[in-house]
Amino acid sequence: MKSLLEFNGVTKRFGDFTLREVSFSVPPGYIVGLVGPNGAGKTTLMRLALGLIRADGGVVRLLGEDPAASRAAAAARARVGFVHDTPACYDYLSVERVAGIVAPFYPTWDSARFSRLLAGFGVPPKAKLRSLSRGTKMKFALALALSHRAEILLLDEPTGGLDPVFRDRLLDLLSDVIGDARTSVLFSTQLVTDLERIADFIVIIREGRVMFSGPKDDILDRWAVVRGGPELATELAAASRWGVATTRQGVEALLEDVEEARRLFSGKALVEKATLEDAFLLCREPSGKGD
Amino acid sequence: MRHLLAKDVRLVAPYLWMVVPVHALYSIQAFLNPELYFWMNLAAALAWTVAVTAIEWHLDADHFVAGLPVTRAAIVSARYVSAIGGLALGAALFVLYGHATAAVATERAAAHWQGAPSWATVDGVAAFLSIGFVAVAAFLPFFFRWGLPIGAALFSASAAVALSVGTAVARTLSGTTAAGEVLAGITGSLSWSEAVRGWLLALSASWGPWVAAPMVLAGAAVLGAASLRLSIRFYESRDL
Repeated sequence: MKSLLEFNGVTKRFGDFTLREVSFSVPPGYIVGLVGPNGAGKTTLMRLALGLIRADGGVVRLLGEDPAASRAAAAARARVGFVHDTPACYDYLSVERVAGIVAPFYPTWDSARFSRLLAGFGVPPKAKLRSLSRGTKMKFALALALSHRAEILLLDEPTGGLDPVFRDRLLDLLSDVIGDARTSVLFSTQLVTDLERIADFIVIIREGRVMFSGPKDDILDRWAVVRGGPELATELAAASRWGVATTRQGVEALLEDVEEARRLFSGKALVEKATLEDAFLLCREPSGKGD
Repeated sequence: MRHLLAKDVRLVAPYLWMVVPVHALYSIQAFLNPELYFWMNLAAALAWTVAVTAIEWHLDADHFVAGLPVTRAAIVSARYVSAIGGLALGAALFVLYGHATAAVATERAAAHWQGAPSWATVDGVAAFLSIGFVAVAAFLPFFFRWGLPIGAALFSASAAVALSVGTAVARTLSGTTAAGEVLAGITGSLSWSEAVRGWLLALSASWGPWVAAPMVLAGAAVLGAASLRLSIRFYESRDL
């Protein structure tokens, strides 16, 4: 299975921030959720994927091409739909005028589909972008990204500013988009609930480092969260590769094998199957012990 | 690049009407100060050349455009073409309003006229385009390397230093060499528009217009190509 997007040992330094040895891939026909707190490096990865910035080290491949390279990368971008975290651009122009600017760049642009999406999303085509709310601008950006039959969608926090009803609808739409088994989505978010519904793979990133990358079901089916008193801190720290977090009630840690966790901690601590929320909160550097 | 140019036209289209009244207002200067008429029109033309650059910078649209299926080289090249288009538009209006002003001028006003129509000539327009082209070719590499605010500041500072040093060197050389005397004559007048026009006329007188014109065009092509190459190199290596 050839990946549509691949990061292999990618590093990038910006002042105090460093993206460190990031590796993961986006296979065709799947939704990959990129989740991490603010400043974790999600937008940096999206920009690397689009070739807006160059990696200091490692390899980025978008549809088989180096996105920061030349003509071939530009041609590859015709097969990519993207939504930036700040979707507003040319805000003094109307929705249809901006679409008129963007459409000619894409040979596969589907005007009828764009009109249908605008109508379905409730975006008024004659309205100027600056008169739209952030959520409606995001809907417009999504309509642009979805109207040229892209093979991969790079969506940087697309649910930001969206109301829960539309967010729900968008998630359904994305599930439909990958239904052809050739389109993929890389979807960054801070909302784990979004990923619970639609993601096939999860990448958890924190402070520029990938903490976990793999199938969502690995987390939901196999991982455990163990919660106990502070006296278990040392034992939990030895068992968990992520270290131990301190809470008001005691300590908690993430273990990668729920059966093993039960064997080790049943009777001494509460052992439960991990949720994505648990994974997001507890996947961290082991140096975070005692946080 | 065709689509990028179409994008630029669509971006400035809502503001294009401003070109007509702005240059019309400047034509008033034709009665008062022909030198100022030249420079105000040139300043307006240069504003048109950087209009798209300024709009996209202001709207933080650089990363949006670079995410489209185009190369960075195409983005830079399109920006040069649209800048030259803006300069040509400014030059056309400069000539048009120069002639229009002359046509409607009363005898009394014409008595105070110090020469505005003289700019609306081939050598006047050549001076206009030459200075404008050099300014565009010098500015765009600064923009593509540092962005608009820093690039414009560095360009202005560099231009001021270059003009000052050039003037100082010319005055120092004055009287010591023949070339120095010529340079001192040009820079000492501080009338760069007249100086450039004078230089173009001298070139034409020495070589004949059919040789001088290709020489000037060849010089512009070399300068433009060097500037374009530098801008592409800067922009391709820049993180957006």
